[in-house]
Amino acid sequence: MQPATKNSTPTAAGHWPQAQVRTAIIAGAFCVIIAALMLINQLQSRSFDPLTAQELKQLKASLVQNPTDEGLKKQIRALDHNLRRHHSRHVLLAERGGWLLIVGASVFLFAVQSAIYRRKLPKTQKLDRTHETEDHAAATARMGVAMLGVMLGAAAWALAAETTTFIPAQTAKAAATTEAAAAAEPPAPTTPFPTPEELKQNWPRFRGPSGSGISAYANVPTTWNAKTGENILWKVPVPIIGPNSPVLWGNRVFLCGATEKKREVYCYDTTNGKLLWQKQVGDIPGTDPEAPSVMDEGGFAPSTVATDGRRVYAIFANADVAAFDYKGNRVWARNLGKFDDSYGHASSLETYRDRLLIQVDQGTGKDGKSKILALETATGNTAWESAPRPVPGSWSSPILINTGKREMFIVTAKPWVMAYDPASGKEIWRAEALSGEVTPSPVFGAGLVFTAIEGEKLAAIKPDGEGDVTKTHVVWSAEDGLPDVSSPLCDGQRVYLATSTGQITCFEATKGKKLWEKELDNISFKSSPALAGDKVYFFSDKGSVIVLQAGNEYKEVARAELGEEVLSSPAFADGRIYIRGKKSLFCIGSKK
Amino acid sequence: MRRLVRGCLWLALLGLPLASAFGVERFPPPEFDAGYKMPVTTVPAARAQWLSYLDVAVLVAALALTSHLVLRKRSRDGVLAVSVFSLLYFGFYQQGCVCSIGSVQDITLALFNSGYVVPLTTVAFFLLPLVFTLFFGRTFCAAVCPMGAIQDLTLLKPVKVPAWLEHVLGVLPFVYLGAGILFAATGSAFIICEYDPFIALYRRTGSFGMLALGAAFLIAGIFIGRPYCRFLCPYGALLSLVSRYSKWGVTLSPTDCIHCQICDTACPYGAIADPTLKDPHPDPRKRKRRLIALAALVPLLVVLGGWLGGRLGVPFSRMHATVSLAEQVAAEDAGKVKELTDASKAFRQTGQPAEELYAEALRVRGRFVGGSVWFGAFVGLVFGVTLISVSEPRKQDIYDPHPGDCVSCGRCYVYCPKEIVRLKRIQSKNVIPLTPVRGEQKS
Repeated sequence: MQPATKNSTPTAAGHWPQAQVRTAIIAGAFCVIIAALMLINQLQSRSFDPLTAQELKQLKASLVQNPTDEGLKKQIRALDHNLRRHHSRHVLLAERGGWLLIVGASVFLFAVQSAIYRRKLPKTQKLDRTHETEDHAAATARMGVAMLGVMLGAAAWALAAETTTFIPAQTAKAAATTEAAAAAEPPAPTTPFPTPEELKQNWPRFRGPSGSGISAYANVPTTWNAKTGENILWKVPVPIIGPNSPVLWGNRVFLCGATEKKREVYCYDTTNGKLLWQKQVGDIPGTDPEAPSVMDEGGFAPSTVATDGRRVYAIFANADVAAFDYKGNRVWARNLGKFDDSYGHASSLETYRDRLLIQVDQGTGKDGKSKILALETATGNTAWESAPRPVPGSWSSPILINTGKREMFIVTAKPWVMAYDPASGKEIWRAEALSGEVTPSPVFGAGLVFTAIEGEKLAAIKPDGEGDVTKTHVVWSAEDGLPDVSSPLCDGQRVYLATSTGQITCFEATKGKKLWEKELDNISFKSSPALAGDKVYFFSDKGSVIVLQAGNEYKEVARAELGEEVLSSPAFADGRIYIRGKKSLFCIGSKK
Repeated sequence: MRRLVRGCLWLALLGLPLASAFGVERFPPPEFDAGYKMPVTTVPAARAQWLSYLDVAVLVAALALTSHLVLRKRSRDGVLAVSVFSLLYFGFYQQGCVCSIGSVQDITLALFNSGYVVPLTTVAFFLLPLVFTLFFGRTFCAAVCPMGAIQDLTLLKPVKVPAWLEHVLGVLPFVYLGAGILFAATGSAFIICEYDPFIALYRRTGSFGMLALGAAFLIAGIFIGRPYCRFLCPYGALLSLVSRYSKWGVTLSPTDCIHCQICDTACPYGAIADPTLKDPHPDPRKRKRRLIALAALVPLLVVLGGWLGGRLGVPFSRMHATVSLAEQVAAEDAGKVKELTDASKAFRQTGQPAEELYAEALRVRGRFVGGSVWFGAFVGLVFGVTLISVSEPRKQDIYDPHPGDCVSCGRCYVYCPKEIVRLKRIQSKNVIPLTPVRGEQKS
């Protein structure tokens, strides 16, 4: 490289540039050859593109006509393999060619740059600059800028004019209305707790009003398809995976979720599935910083929340209980003291008037740790606490029933089914009907309380006794098709049981006669069945739903797939089913 | 011979991007079960964090070194060497990412979307060149930016762009910057990255459009110095604004300029500003009136631009995935298109009602309309200010690099006769004088 400002020796001036020029020629020729070869390679590779090869397409089309033609399959495989082999070879050649071209171009550029390094500049022309020429140049520049502005403006105008939109205009209003509706808060209740009618119209707790699993609405779909979207109104992700079930009130859906470190409550808009708020319970004095031991399936939030239309209440495996208002503000929170429960507390909540009822069964049954707690829904203060219960840990959820004569709070744990006065916490009656690790919840129907647990029995108990009614009020019992997790369902005439082994059994409700049983292959039930109209819905662990006609014979009405695993139980509203899958919350309903 | 060289050069530069055109393609696995076991999908490990810090360290070092070479050593050769290094490191090794030019969009999106977290490396790549420019002029453009470097190295026969055209095209980087910010702020696209002309070259793979764009810029760059930097680079637009206020920028010999114009001829980027004419303007009142008229035009252009920009909200919003999908679904439902796209098929499988998608799309579009008004107003302002600046050039007595336009490449140093003399003087001061040996003295 020789600066032009220096006087070079004749030798250098003569030889260096020549050498650089020769190098540039050779490198340029090399680049041309490589580029040409690569171009040929590219053109050739088109014939071996597995995506576009016509012959392969024709053969595949033939196979559709003759799907059993083994010879044709072999031919397609051979051709497919051949195409891929050639294609891979061309890709490899292109890659290597690319490197060669880069190297060649680098040498070329280096040589040319060296040859022209600090070349002598052309003589400068003395410009005759005057104000006139300057003004003229400025005017030209202004004109140019203005022209560019006009061109851009015209292009913008043309683009705007040419663009057509197919999105319906009325959707704008609808969107605004929908958004306004979604954002609108439900009218503030004027009473401290809901009426029984309000409770029936909603789905305020696990398995709905009284934990019966019975929908007040029969107009819900029996079929849907998660793949095609048929009857799936919306599907939204749930921030934390968990088995607890959705709870409904008005246009709100509530869920909760928890990890070792955080506990959250979610509020969704039923209209569109929008997550309206997601609130952490946060720090509560007394909470053990060490996470409790829980089962994988249950996680840290197995209990379903409860709501009374004023607040939503949640309990977690670490004994945190919290209440949030419908705006997502935490109203109160407290910790009940670390649970002595190796599987993790899983009982769901129930409300009674202005009380939040909590089944706190834990320990061995002899240590006096188990009890029922009633908290004031407005403040979280303890309203009453039952006498120590002679039961160990239980994972079933209590129910509040009305026998027509009085209201009772039915709580199940090994070995007792016990009824309490929800107002005072006084025990009313108890019946020995359970054993093992009690997970299915009781259900009330046909004037009887039904409890069931694998390894013990299905018991039908008349709830009008007092004291120990084991020998006097257990109307009938049965030992077939006993569930381990899923709760019974009573449609008023029959009781349905579903097991983890895929068996569905039906008993006559008042007499206990087994009406039918059905073994379903590759099916397992942990979700509890539900009734809508005269249809019984069974959600399997894998996300299949089997819809049966409620009756004295097994009659399958429909099957549908959710496309996600299901451990929770469904919630029902007017024309809709809400179900929580492993990852998502689904709203199922007719789109018409 | 020169023609031959030129011809070879053309072919080489045409072929260079083609290399990457034939890059890796992917196609689906075989559809038949022929006993072949598909390998387990593996995901390459994320780049080590310390390498990101290394990138920032290299950036700082390159900026510092270039600033030193440009302002203290005034060494064109040194700048050239750093350019080659930057091309290799930030270009081919880093594959052009993270780059300061694209980082504008990351910063914008983070400002408008609290859920978008910008890595500190990206923040550093955005801020550091601006900070260095504030002190030392556009030394980032000189040799650190790989896009500038490749254009600098492929410039072989520079052609002077007429001054008026330079002014006209100089508006485009600001328009591009505005558009880049609009699309980033709305979460639609990082258009500055998507249409980066040289990224395909650095990665040796890319779409035909990208490669063609890169090839076009490289070919144009043989004759027109740094066409991307001067007439499109949005980050260059920012640096150009900042460098006008830099504490130390490139100057030639401000005290003894002989008006030889050699620097003006040597600068391939049209960055040497001419001295202002000394004699008074013959019609100062006309000039003043024009200036007042242009100043009055600025707000009008802002309003007009805002209005036009607002009209662009609908077409621009199609860049957003939700709006694009909603348009496709709506067109399908209206029977306007027969072919379903993968996206519309996937949407229909979710079961989400189309009305909800439309509602969301309209909400996004609303944001776009608002953003487009601001974008249009900004473009109007740029045009207005440009009209004033071309009418009232900066006053100066000598030929000197324009602080906004000069990319600090150092080419003018080696041609300025006064600078050569000055450098020689400094050099001679540093030379140890030879003392004759005694024997020689005697003889």
